[in-house]
Amino acid sequence: MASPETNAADELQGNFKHLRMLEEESIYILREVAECFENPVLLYSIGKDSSVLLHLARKAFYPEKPPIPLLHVDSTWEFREMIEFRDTYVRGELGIEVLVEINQDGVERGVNPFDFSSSVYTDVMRTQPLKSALTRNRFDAAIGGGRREEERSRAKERIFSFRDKHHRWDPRNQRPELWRLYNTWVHRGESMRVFPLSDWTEEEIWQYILLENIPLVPLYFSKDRPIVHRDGNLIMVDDERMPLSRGEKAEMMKVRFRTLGCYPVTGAIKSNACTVSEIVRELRSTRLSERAGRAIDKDEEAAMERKKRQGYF
Amino acid sequence: MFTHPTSTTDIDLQHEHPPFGILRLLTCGSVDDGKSTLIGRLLLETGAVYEDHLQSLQLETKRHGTTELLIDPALLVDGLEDERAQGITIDVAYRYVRSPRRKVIIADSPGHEQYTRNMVTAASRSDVALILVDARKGIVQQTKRHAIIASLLGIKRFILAVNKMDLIDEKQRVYDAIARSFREFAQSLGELETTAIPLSGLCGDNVCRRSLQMPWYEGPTLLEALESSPDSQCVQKDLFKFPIQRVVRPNSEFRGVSGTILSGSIRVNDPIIVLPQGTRSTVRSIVTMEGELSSANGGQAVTITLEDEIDLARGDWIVSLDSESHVSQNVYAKLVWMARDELELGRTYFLRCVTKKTMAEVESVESVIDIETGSDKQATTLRLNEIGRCRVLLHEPIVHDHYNAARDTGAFILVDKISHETVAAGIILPPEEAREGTGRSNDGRVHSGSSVSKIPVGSQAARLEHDSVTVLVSGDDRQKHVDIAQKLSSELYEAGFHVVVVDEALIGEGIADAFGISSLEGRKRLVRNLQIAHVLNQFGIISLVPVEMADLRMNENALPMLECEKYMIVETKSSDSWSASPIERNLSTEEEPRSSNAEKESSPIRVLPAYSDGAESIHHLIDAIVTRVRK
Repeated sequence: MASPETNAADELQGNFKHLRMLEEESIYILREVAECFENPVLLYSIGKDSSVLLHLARKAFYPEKPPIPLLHVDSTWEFREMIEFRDTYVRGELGIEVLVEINQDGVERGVNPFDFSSSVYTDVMRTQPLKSALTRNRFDAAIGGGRREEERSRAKERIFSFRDKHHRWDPRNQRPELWRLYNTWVHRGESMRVFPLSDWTEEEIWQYILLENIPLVPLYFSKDRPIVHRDGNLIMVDDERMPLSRGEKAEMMKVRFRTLGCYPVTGAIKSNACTVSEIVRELRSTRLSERAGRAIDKDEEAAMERKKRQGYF
Repeated sequence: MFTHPTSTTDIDLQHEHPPFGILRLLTCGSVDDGKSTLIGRLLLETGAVYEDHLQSLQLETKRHGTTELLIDPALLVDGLEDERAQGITIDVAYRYVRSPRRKVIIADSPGHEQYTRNMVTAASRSDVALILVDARKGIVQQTKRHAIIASLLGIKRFILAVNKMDLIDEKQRVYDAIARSFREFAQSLGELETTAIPLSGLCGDNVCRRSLQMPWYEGPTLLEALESSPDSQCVQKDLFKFPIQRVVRPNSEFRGVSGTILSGSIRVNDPIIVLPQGTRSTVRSIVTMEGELSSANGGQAVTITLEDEIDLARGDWIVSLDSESHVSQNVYAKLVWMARDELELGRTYFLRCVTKKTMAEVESVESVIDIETGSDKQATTLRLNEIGRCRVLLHEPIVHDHYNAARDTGAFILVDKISHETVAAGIILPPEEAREGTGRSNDGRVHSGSSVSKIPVGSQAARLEHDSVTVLVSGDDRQKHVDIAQKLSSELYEAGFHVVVVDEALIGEGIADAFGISSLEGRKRLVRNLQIAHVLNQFGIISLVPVEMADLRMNENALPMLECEKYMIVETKSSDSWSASPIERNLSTEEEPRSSNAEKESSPIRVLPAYSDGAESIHHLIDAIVTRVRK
């Protein structure tokens, strides 16, 4: 007769069946990219989705190291802990090469998220360097961690999403995706954006992080951090570049982040969740979407769709 | 330093995760049946919509909404600017519903105009079809069309959502009549399971909450129906099937193949066969990042190493000894035509089947399926959104199943070589169906050409004392190369070899007539003869194919039908001399279209020093052939 422990173990595996199905699907897609393209790249943004993606890539190609290089488009306004994680864990511990792309012209012209609108800032410091890195390195496939659940225009994305020579997305002219037979043919200069996490939800990402014990940037876990209130968001003062207006003062607050990007435009949430399982529990009770603290999605209706058409990830 | 405190046991997993895995749902309905509203309602009530999204939704409802409600659920679903502005759905979209018991992936296909193409796309992976009807209108032609397409794509379970029940009187009578009429119709589509639900997407009746308006209805709510529907993706527990996705060779010590086990299970030391080659070996190890496994099951993405250093490539399959998968170089299939330009017979397209990429051409269209009635009618080509039964010739053999046995391995796509547009979706049919409803009087003796033999490929050849080869006997003088082929054939036969001349005399007028290809043009005749030669080779028989040099030069891309080391070309010259040449260049059937003139000039047909006509020279040829086939 089975012991209560084995029952519990079976149950646990059974309860995670959907995660195993999602995992298999993503690994299949990653292997397809490696086989069907000459020069693929994995867009690595250091966040939780990127971390899951990297973990899946390590599994997909084991015992080989992922044969796909990592590219980080660095806006120069990332949280310092993100850069530390990239350099210490990914480059150091895992020994995986990470290419870094920075728009030097934008840096020299002083483009920052305070003095420029979010659309100009994102375009100059994210979209343009991304496009230029893709073109210069002749990458014919770029893997990203986008999920369809995140935002309405993403729901319309294909898993293999075609881009023309100018990296443009045309939502009215997408390739049909039949069975698991992805049409991966592209001409020179054209490329594919590939989203192996399309079918995952935020909750499943966290469940999987829990199940697989995937290392993350500590910013996801609650801690006392220096915070100022701005436009309804809790913004962390991560370095001295952040201009404080008269009378504005950073106060220590127990917060964590649901998504990570440029620190001046990424809102924190008040939270006591210090472990992954506490985060999973917290997610169940939240009524706000994960990108609620991200200024970039909200400047106007369909903002994300427009950015995507222009080549944003 | 970046590991964090986690444990899978410190969280209450019970009832918090869907124990039934994932259900894939196709939704279809006509324009204005309220499909977006119903899906939006499902998302709202299962808590898939966050507070901040709801807030922006309220603003948009004021701007674009078509209802008096505070929130128009349809706006949740129509995500693109054009869609919101016009109140329509442009393309297939994917939504996620998570109930306490399962995750549902909704493939939402638009109901209007380009229905077939979009519906086929959405249906290709779905387990269940949700078909919407407007209770005021009942079953309309569009409803039947949707059901026909869904069942064609192998969907066996239907949910008939009788929507807008809030707008009608005599609810029970109307619902009963609609449900009965759909069930009667569905019977004609084969063994389908139908659940009919009276509901209102707008008011939420019987979507996630039981309706107080319809106390007479005792069946499940929509959500309950989705939760209780069996998880068909639960991998088939039958024969082991592992299409190779990549060959892994990180160093000289390790050589493995990665892929996903599609069905069955495998253990270390299990004997296996590699298709299409038919080579046997044994599983040495099953490798994953978490360590080596002693066994693995369907649905697992693993890396396998074998005991023997045998030839393995992406597109090959590893299967169990009792495999029922097929290897063939031509298939009989239903094609869903997806391109604006109509199908061009004989044109070469890229083909993708499971992980294999090759090239293919559609040889003939036998009939087109009338989507209004489900019956067949005569046709010679396919236009946008038409579905026809076709014969497809491939440039090399592929491993596959029949679609009704296994959907993922019984399907393929055709892609235009220049535009890279997906022009067709293909559903591979078993040979029995080739004889049904084609409108042509086939007698039962005509074989479909699909290899249905369970004898592993190559095993019969293994019994012969010599290897096989195809010799293309070519030249400018037609009669001369036919004569030489006959001469070579009788000499080889005398010497104890199994040999056949593949020409019109072999094929016979009767069979040629039955196929309707008795008067084939050079190109098609060449392709057909090479295919026959290839099949004979697999049985170990040496094939001699007389062929016109001009045809051969024009149709080099037919040669990759044969493995490159498996053929020789003999050229008879007008100066009464011949030569024999093994083909040295590896003809690639991969991605790049081989069309430029530069490539034509660097033809793989090389001519060795010529021999003079006469007995001595024919023996040189025989020696060359015998050297090639000696074991």
